[in-house]
Amino acid sequence: MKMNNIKSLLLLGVAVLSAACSSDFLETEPTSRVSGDRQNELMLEDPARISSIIGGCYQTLYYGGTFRIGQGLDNNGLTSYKILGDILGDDMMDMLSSGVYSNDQALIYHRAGYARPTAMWSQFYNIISTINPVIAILKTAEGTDNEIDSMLGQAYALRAYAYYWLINFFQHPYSVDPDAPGVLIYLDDATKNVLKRAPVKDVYAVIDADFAEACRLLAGKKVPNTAIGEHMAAGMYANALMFLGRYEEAAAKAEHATKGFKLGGAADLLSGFNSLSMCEAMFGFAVTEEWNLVYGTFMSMMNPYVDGYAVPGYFPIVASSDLVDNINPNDIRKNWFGYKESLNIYGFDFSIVEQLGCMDYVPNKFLCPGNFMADVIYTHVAEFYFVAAEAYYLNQDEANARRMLNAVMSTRISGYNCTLSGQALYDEICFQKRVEMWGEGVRIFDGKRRDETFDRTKSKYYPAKLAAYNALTYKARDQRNTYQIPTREMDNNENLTPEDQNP
Amino acid sequence: MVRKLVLSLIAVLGVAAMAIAQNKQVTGTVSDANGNAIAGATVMVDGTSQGTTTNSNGQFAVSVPNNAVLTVSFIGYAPMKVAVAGKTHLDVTLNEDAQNIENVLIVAYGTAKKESYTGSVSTVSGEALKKMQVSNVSKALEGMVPGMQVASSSGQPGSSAEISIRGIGSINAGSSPLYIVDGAPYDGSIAAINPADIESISVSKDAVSTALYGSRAANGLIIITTKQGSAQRNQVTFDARIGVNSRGISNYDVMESPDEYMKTYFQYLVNTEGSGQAASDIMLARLGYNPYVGNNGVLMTPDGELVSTDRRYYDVWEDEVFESGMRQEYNVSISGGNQKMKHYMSLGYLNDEGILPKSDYNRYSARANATYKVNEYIDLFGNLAYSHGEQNAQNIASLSNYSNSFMFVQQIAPIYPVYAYDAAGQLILDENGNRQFDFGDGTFGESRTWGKSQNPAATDEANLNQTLTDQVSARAGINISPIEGLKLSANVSYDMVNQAAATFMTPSFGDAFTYNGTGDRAHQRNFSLTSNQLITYAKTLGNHSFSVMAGHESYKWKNRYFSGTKRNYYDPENPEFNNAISMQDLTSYSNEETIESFFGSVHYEYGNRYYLDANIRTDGSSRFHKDNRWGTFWSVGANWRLSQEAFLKDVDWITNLALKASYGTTGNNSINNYYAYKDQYTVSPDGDNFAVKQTYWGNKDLTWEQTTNLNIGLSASLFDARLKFDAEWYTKRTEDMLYDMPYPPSSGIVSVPMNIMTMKNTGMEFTLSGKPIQTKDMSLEIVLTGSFYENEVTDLPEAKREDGITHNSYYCIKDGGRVWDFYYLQSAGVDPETGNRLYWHRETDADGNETLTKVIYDELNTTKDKFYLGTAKPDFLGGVTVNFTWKNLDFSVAGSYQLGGKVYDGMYQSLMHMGGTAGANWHRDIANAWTPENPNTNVPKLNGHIGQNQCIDPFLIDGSYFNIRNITLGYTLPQRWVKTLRMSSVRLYVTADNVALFSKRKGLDPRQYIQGEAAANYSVLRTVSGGVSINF
Repeated sequence: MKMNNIKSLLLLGVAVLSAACSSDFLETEPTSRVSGDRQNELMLEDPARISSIIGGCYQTLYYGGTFRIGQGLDNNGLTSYKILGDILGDDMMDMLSSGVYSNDQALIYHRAGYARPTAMWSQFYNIISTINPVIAILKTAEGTDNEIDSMLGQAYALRAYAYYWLINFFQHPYSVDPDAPGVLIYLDDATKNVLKRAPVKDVYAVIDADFAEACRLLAGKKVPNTAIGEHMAAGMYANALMFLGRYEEAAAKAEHATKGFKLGGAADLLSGFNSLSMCEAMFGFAVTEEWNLVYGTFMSMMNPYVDGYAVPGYFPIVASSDLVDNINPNDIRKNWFGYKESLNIYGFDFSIVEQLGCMDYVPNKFLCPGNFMADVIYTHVAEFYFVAAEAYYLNQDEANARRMLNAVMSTRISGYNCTLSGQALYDEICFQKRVEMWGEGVRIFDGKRRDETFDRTKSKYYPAKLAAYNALTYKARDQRNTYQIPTREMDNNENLTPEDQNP
Repeated sequence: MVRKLVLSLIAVLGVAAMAIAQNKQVTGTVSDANGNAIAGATVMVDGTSQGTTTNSNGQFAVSVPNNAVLTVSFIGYAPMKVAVAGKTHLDVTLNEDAQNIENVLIVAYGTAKKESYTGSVSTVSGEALKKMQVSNVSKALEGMVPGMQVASSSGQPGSSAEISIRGIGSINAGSSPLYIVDGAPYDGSIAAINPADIESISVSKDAVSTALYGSRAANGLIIITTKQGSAQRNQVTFDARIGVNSRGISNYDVMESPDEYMKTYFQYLVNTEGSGQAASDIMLARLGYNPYVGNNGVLMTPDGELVSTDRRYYDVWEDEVFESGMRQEYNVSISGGNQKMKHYMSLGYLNDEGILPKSDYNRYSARANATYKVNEYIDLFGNLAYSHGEQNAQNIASLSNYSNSFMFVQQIAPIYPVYAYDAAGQLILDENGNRQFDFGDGTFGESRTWGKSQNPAATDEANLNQTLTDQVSARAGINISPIEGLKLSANVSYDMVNQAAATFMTPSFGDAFTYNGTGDRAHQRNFSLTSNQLITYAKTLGNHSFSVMAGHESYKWKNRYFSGTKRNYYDPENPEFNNAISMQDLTSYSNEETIESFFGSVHYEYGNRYYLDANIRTDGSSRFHKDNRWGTFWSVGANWRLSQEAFLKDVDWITNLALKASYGTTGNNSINNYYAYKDQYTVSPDGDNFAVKQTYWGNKDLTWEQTTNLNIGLSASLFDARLKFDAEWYTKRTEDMLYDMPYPPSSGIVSVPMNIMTMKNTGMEFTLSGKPIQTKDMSLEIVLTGSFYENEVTDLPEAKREDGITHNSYYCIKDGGRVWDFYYLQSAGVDPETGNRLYWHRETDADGNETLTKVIYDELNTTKDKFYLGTAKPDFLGGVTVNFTWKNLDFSVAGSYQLGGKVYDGMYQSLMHMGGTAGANWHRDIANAWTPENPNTNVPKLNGHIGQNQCIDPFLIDGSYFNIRNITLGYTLPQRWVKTLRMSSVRLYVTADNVALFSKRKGLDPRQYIQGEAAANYSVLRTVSGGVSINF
């Protein structure tokens, strides 16, 4: 081989090397996700894209988002927590006490190591940490545009709502001890430092301020019921004010909440609570095929007529008899309970339910097709008639209490007209609310706020096994209904010591 | 900086090399002890990569420096060193040596001689691999390489083993070794490589042997070299082997009849319902099935006696779900060549059926390897392999997944039938007179509370989980030797994997019944391109030899992924999307990774006694931000052959004695995200709107994880190599580990990748082999390997120093502790009064003194009351091989063993449940559960209380085992028979894999769980085959 050839070969080699040395060779960009830099560019291009971050929070609210834990049957955001709100109380029974929520029913899942506190804590904090920078950005443009104000209002409402759940599941109600250690307060993006528990009253101060801002900003804005609008925000605010004992304001907010949506009749009420087009549906998630959680859906847990977890042979859920038996026979809502042959289109065998004497307590409130495709309705407008009635009553205004009660109940029982007063009136408000909101997760909040005692033995059927867990008769404020701070937080938050843990 | 240095080095060397060389032509012959010419023998100039091979007459011609030393070698013969010493003709005679093959090591970018190599490399020969009946060669390595842990976590045909070399590689970053196939990093599937094509596998363990792949070699290298043709031995081989696969690991000792299950379940009901009467009343409702006839719906009397023992059905789930599979393997190869060209070509077919329906692996493979010598300056090589793999697998996902048949058959109570029966116990047949599967969903009147709508005997057959893989793997290179001692090489390797996966869950029954069937399709295409340019110069001057190498390498990997999901299928037997109407999901994305590297190495040796190696390599990785992307890794090594020293040279019982040491660094960039320095947002729909969420939190400061490795080894070969001993001690210190630092969930962040913590693995390993018998007719060889290591993590982040880092729930890394140490709630026995489980609880008094008390679960502080319960790290592990030949018979046994190391047996825990799950089976150990009559026990009262089993120590079990991995018996037909058939050799054999496992608990296979957490994985296969090997 000639010298010249060798030289040119070497030169070629060096050329090849320098070519590959170009700086671009090592630069790559993700395509399965959007990189942070690109996301910032996109936001700058069109600030309306911020709504997509809020959309992400609604999604997290629905199924838990990034912090969904386990196999997706439970711990699915509000889809699951709404069930929790009832199963921890005395109006809903997991008959065989071996279902997905049986350990909640036995008051066990409050402990730090379990998925339940971990999921609830993480999911709501994920919403808070996502929404904080959104608030920071939108605040700078507040008042410039209706769309901006609507987004900002929703952002405040979402943050307040997340804190509302956290404070009520991780500490006793405000009235017990406003100075008790509450939860950690994150309010702006800069606070990436981890924090200590703030007193309950400080957490409520955030909730109060955020809901007030939300109501102000959302006033007059058109928002679909897949998002938090003016009336929903007012309703949520009313619930928080009830805990604070500010009944006058609560009554006003709750009554305002009722203004945005019409009360429905029998057709609406018996439609199965499965579509956001239901006229009473205030807020929910429009489930598409992609977001159908199938066995993890609310319907899989609550509808005994499709092949999910609530079918009789599996983990049948029923209402307690002392609730159902006391419903007025003329009440449309009486139809929400009691086995109906016409609904059992797949012909499931209800003999176990029959054997246990529970046929009259089988729930029909939530119905869906066999593939579980159904919207999730977080709440319906009737709730706030009851909230308003109770608030007026507690504010010593029985006339308005009766007015609100009659307004909603006359659509449930034809000719209903309550003339009761005093404790009897209060009992009626509370009882009708229990019936109305069965399965919608408000029972535990009301029980804790009112310091009720839950007594599962009042029902004709209750799982005897719960005796072993001391979970038949207990206070709503039983320590076991206050979650421990999850292990994952305790392990990774250097500011929390074991002494900071709930008992 | 290093890049620039390397570039200039390449240029300087090129010029320098041209100036030095001065050669002369030497010719010669190579023959065996009987004087027969050996064709294809390698003649190498010592200390260089220069050399040639002999022609059909055993002749060679090579251009060498005057004072060169030639090494002549050929497979099956002891290599011979001949000094040229001014001669122009040499006649060399080689003596046979069965050990010879082990003396050539395949190492990074070349070969090395074992006795002189400074690094740590173990070699497994193709012959040893061939005995193992694996579809994935990674599984054949169990017990073969000291210092290597091989966990065959699944018996599914085609699946890979999990391999870790020398302790625990990393915590979050990849801890698997890097595979190199024919000189280049391999990105294909290991299952695609036909083990029959493998000449040898080298495992590189220390810094000096891995540093040249510095970028990704921190966890060691597995270098696979495929077969090459020989210059003169033209031969055709044919191998066929047929056998049967069966379940290697049996069930746990679970209850097998309804009678025993009923009695225990009744006890649970009495405990929870309060009385025998209440228990008797509710029992049938709870269990859902009446396995007896003639009891009028009352299973047991209030006294706990069975009302009837007349069985309604006798189905055994295990028998209905599992089947034995057939295993067939055929390989044909043609190899040979001439002075100019050598070739090896092969075709292979494997059909490996698992022990479940639709669980198998089929592979069609073809390979063509060739080398071509253009002229005395230039030679080329090219290897091309194609394989088509078809894998059907069942979803053996986890303990809680009903589709895991290994879990299902053991955890379903023996009271439920597989098929539908009427009240009298007669089969309910369909209109065609066939048996019908019972899914326990009420279709035939009864419902199970455990595993409702599930029946693996039906669904395993009806569902589909198939992966088709087409793979092309190509290697090509050119070597130019313009002048003596100088070699310029350019190599390109290309791996391309096209994969089409399909899953389908039948609409007819099972999980997907409610949404009328569901199916996924996923297509992906991976390709990787590695190209390198090397320049090598070697020179021998008197007793001094040296070689220098410099190179550049670029690596690019790209993956494209596309998948979809549909539900609602029309024809229940057609899994295609055109047969379904509901769109569920559609996804596509691509990922890319690039690495660029510059490297150099120097090798020096003096007088066959002292050897030195030094390597340096710098790598840039696309996974890191441009400011932190480059990492530089280096190593030095030395080997001292004591046996060559004057004071030992005359000790004739010492064949070889060498002491070696190496020190250096390697890197690891395999953090679990390709863009780990960037924040990442996921886009998804919120109705008609966008929902954008941050789902990854990147870290711009992230950089290479770096391991510093010290290796010291002693290698002895005694009594004419009949006794060999190799021992190595190492310590590996991994710093700046890539770790996904978990954040408190209140921050909204899951975790952020960081470089934190230090981990040290220190250990020893040895290989001892002896040939107590070596006569003309008989030989016996015994090889024993063993290793142990200690693992220690230090430099925990400040915030974690006190409490440690909890991971995978049951483990905690403490400062100074190990990665896989169990820390969890600890049982303090069972309260004889109440039958409640007691736990150890830490009580601190006012003076800060800690005392331990026994409390029930509800009184525990689950955060504080965690205790060290042992470690998953084994104390000692290794393998043993015995090879025996007598005349034409050959017999071998290979085994592997482990001592110590705990396994958390979650399956056993499930089988020791407290009764709360009606219809879930029990382990027979449950008979010892607490009752008033049996108060002193360690099994709590059956009351369904979740607090009874929240500790794991009762379910931690010693992971020690001994496994008879393989037994092979062969017979080579006498030459005179074979000759008449015009063949050159014929060997018949029977071989059995996974013959027996001796371990602590029946049903648990500790080998499957390298991290110590058991989960009813797919059992290893016991394979018994017969085969024939024919050479023409």
